[in-house]
Amino acid sequence: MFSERVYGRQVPAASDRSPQRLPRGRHGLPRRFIVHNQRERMLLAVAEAVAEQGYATTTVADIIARARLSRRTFYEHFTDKEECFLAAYDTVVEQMLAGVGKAYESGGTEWTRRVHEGLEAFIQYLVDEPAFARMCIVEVVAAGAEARGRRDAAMRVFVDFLEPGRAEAPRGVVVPELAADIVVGGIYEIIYTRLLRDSADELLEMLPELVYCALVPFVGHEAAAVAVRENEARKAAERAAAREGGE
Amino acid sequence: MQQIAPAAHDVAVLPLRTRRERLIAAMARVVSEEGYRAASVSKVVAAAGMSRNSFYEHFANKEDCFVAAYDATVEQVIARVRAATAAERTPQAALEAGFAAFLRYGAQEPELAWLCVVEVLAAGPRALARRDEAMRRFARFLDSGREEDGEGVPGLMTEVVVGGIYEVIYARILEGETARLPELLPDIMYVWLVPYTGVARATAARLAVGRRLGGRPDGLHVAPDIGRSVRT
Repeated sequence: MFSERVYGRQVPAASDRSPQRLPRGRHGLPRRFIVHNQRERMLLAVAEAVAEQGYATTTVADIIARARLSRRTFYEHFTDKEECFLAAYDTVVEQMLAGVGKAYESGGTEWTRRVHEGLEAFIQYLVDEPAFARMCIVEVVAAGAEARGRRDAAMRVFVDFLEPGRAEAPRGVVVPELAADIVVGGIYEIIYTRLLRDSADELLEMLPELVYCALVPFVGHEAAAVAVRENEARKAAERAAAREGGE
Repeated sequence: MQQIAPAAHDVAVLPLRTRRERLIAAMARVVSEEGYRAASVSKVVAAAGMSRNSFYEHFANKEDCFVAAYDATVEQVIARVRAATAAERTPQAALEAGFAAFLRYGAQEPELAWLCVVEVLAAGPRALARRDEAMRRFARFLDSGREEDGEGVPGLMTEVVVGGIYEVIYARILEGETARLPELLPDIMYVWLVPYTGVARATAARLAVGRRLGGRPDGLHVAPDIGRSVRT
């Protein structure tokens, strides 16, 4: 597992930390990974190589050149490029999902607020970690059947975050199960196209609209719009209070 | 000797396909069996029963042929959707007919569906740009069929729905359920309508679409206390 550096300060005793325990960044997500063994160096190298040149054209030679390790060392850890890629993907996604899950939980008892917090943490992570974003969102679908399967498993975690929304629907309405799949897939597509165009920053500006889109199949237009407005107002108030407290 | 050109609609149903079409069909077969990366010009010409030379008369390389196959399929889907919507009287009925035609096409053409939905992601930047454009055309089609003005609904909603439909179709195709794509129709209609009509009317529409489909009761369960209220 990668250990972490938070705001330039290296977290001590990385080996004692469980992967689930993340440093407290803005959203409890890791800010940067520091690698300190050969395997981790190769995981970081494959993530960066794939993000830069695409999965198809990345070779084992590219990975070991970045990691500054020998070909023999590579094959001691992995049988091929795909296995190395999948290991890196799993490592990054596990940490990302842990952070998103924590943000979701921080939303308290209101489901609409939990969705907002979780989605914000997700997008912030993608903006903060462009190489990992590229690997997990864009390259993963070009890296073969196994990688696609891993991506689908990650998407199901997001579907589970929306699942409680079915209980939020007005009385007598049964929201189709496919609604969560469509919304999660649709948000994935929005992110995919923006990363492809190198405009990840747009995603942060879109956050309120994305939250609306996630909520609306469950609660309808009015309730979704109100929830987004209230969440935004509360966040703005919290930021203002934090600024005053800091002065 | 006088040549009589066939009428335009006859060309489409001619049983003998052009050489280009044969190569495109062969590309679809090869990529749906082996994936884009493993596909090669040699495999495509073997599948088409044609020579390498004739391949290069039509296409510059494997990618070029793939993109041509993608484009040809998109045009065909659009033609089917247009034909299906033309006879409908209300925008919502047209939308339903259009979605239905779209899903049916995928179910009837599993190799082309695999090429356009799955392999397009692995076929390089040109193919990705074509996919992007196809999604935008689909979004414009949806927006043009909207009955309500959608005030207060973010513009991103259409893009989310289009992307989401793509994703659920992708998942079904990967699971080998391509033939069942038409069953997605009621739920797709629900998600498309709900921001504009509210949950009650979207639910009513979903149930009605399900009944017209021949009502597979699974996935269309309604809460026991719902009574007839959702239809009002």
